[in-house]
Amino acid sequence: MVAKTLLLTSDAAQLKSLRSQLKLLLRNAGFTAKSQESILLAVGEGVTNAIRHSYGGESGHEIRVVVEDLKDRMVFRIKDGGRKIDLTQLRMPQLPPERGGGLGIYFMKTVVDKMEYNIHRPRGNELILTKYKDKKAA
Amino acid sequence: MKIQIKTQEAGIHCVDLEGDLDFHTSPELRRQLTKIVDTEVRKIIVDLGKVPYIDSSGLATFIELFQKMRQGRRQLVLFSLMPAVRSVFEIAKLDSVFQLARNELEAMSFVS
Repeated sequence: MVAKTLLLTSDAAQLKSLRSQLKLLLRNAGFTAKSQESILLAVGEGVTNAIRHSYGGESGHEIRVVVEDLKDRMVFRIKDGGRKIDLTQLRMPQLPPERGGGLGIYFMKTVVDKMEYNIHRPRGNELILTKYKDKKAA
Repeated sequence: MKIQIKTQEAGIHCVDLEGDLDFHTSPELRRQLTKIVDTEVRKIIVDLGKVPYIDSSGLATFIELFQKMRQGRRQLVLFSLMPAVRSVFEIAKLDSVFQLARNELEAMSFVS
């Protein structure tokens, strides 16, 4: 397994740079364009949640995105040291939505293969997103 | 994100966007759109041809705009959506709620 850590702070201005760095890793891992889009969206939403909810919008706090490249999948661990959020309690939005609330969680659940939380983390939050690699054409 | 607002013929406002629409850039777009919506403009078309990425914050901005335009029975059309952006609208089942046009010509025909 190869793991890479992308370090950023809770500043929304860093989201674009995160996406650029991620895109390079995803391209090298052989994901299709469609899968790359899905992962960028899901990880972006996860990091945005950390900024907005775990850190209450305050800038300057650490967020780590650990990318684990496994044989058949890639795992993205979004770790923050902010307020503990129980994302399992958040309601799914009605679709189509009349307001924007709750769409971030919905997107994450929909576009990746697995969304989990590390409930044993003593401080902060760890959101774990898994995307299986695209099968190569025969 | 670059935001340009032009007034076309017949009072149609065209909003030209360039760049990613995410949690960082959507507040400024919201501010700019609020300015024109508050002037009682009746027709807005939005060019998304140079927007390669949108997240839930960006989508929320358009939902808010849509609600305001709908209240006043005003028209809103989004056009030239890139595949990644169109996909986000489809996942949220908003592709059947918003008027989405293939290009500017089609968008203009929808509001004329």
